[in-house]
Amino acid sequence: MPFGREGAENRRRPRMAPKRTILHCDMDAFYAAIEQRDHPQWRGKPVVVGGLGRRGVVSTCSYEARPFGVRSAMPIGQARALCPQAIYVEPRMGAYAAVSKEVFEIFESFTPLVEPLSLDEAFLDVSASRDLFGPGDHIARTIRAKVQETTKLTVSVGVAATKYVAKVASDLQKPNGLTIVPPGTEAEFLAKLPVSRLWGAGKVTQQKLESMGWRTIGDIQRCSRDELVGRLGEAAGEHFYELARGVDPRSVEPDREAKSIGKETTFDVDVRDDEELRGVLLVLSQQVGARLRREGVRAGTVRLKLRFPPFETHTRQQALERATDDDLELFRVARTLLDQGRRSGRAVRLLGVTGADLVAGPQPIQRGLFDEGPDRARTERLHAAVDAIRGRFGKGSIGYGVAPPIPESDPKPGE
Amino acid sequence: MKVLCGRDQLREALTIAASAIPSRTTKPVLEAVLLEAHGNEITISATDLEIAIRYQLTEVQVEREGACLIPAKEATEFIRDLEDEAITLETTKSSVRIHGKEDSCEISLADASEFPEMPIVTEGGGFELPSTVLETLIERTAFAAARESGRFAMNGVRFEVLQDRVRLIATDGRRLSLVEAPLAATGAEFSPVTVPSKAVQQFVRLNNGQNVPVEIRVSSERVSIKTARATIVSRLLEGDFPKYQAVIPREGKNYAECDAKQFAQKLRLVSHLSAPEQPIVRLKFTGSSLALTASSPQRGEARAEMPAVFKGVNDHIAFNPEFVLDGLKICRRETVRIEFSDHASPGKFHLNENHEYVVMPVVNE
Repeated sequence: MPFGREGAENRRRPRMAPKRTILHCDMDAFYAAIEQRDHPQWRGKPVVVGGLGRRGVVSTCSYEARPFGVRSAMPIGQARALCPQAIYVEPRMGAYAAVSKEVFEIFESFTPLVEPLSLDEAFLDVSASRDLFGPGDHIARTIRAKVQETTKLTVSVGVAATKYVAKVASDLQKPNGLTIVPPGTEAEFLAKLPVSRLWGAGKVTQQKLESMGWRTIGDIQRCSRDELVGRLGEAAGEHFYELARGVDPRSVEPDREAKSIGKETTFDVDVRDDEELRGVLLVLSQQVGARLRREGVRAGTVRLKLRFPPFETHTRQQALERATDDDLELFRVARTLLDQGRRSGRAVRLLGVTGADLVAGPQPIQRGLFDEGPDRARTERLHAAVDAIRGRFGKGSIGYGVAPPIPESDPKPGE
Repeated sequence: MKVLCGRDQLREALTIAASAIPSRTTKPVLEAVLLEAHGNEITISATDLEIAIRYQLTEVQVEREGACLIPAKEATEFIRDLEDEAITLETTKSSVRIHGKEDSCEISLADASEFPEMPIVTEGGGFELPSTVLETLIERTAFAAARESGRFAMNGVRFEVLQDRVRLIATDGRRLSLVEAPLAATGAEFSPVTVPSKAVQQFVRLNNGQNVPVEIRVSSERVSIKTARATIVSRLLEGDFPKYQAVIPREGKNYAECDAKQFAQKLRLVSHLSAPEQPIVRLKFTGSSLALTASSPQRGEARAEMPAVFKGVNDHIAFNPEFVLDGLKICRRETVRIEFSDHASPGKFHLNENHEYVVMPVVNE
């Protein structure tokens, strides 16, 4: 075969990974919308779903409640003060889980590559489905119509070539929105958005970026890679440089995230100190616990991820007798796994805690004859109170005495 | 050492003693049995360091007294397949010769100096029971003992002497079985002890239904269970046995009675449709019947009904059917009686005289 022709072919179509089509589907005010659907008299009115005890927090509120300033994770008392006329209801996790199942069945009828993020949110990689179902925007429209038809609920969808951009897009025209970002237009799409839209930029990072005069993602795009790395450090600088251009190498991973919620942290300097590691482990356990409670799920398995320098990664896991969303129980198990997986004093580069085998709603529990342990009802009240304080005063505002404070910004990849 | 004995007796003695030999060990010396010939009897012993079994053979002729340590596997297998009914064992310095009339073998001896000393329990409390009674008590409790290594203190059967009776208890934290039997002679007091499951099961296997007196002796570290020929000495389980008295419910507010065999059959029937990873059968009583249901989201649902007498207010409760069936298997009464306060409280099953079986329910939380 003549060389020239192959070369010409290569020039016309540069060898690179084909563009993917990723959908981020996010049900609108999921719990509240189900309550309004099931109680027609509540439609058009502010509805707040959450713990109704003195120390409960808001899980979800309907769009009618949002102009009053009611937000997720806000103490229920504060919500009542802002919007006394709203209808307040306790969550019905069983009902929400059933609707969630219907929605995911629709997602899965278009692609097997569905990565659930929670009961009401998922990434779908439809790249391979395009031949069968048409282009991404067409699939997105079909999914929206089917969800509406089956559940009488609305879903907002973002369509893009990467997970990050799809997620930003789905949020842009909520509720009941469809936002399509054609490949090649990511930078333009992101440029106008505030830096708070950058994935991985929590309150602290945002303040840092703004103090440097960067308010929009466009401002970040105008910085050189070296400047970002110089100002933000190697990891964060690289991360935001790529992200601002819509570059996000993460692939849609079905199952992995499906049944798990995890947090991990990479240390700037390897940590050898046992106590310090335990402290970090407690922080991670608290973060996972808070997220489990926010999603209304419990973990049946605790998984520990451990990386020794340079790149020796281990995961160990332990199934629980009963699923939990309790920080301390997650911590106890994670700590045992840490002690088993690492000899005292060995340097650690990365530490992660994951709650897996998630379950929602009441579960059958084999009662024990000699059940001791902490009183479950008390533990639940404690968590509701802590979650409420954190919702109001920030994540670092309250924690266990022995643990270092929880960082304000969300930890990066692996979330 | 030189002894003559019957093949069948020696075969049995070797098999019983060798059952103490660990299946896997880092100490090869434990794969041997100790054979001692004195007076007109021989004693065969083996141990895994947790349990030691000693077995006495009296229908023997000791021509030359002595002791030797014989590799158990080779000796047992050779004697099993030897056709002659009379066997002679004769040691030289480093081997033992086992022979019938025409066939023989010579097995190298193990180093007796490395073999652990066989423990004996001489002092401490104890009691005596007919072996069939002890066997029954064990059968009605040992099944409920914990198997997980995490519940170490519950991996056995609790023995207690209360004046004129003995009490055995076993629990895995989810169900508990308690039995009592009267003592003919008052036993010597001892603080309650937990005997490892393995030791009581050894006794049942070794007793094999025969009825002889059994003497149980307890020291602070060990228990010995002694019949006419055999002695089992076991280390006791350490750790705190749970405070079981507190969890045995008194008279429940609700009680039901039904045919034990039919109940077992219906439980087995519906449990086929239960989720295998967490089997649950729900019981719902009316005044005259019991409805059983089981379901799993992936597989479907099963229902069954049977006659039952019920008195009470709270009419439903759910159990792991395996736990209930374990109890019904050893139920000698035709009618089983179940008592419970509500669906979240323990169910008490009356299966036999002097026998209480408590099972915790499954609840939705």
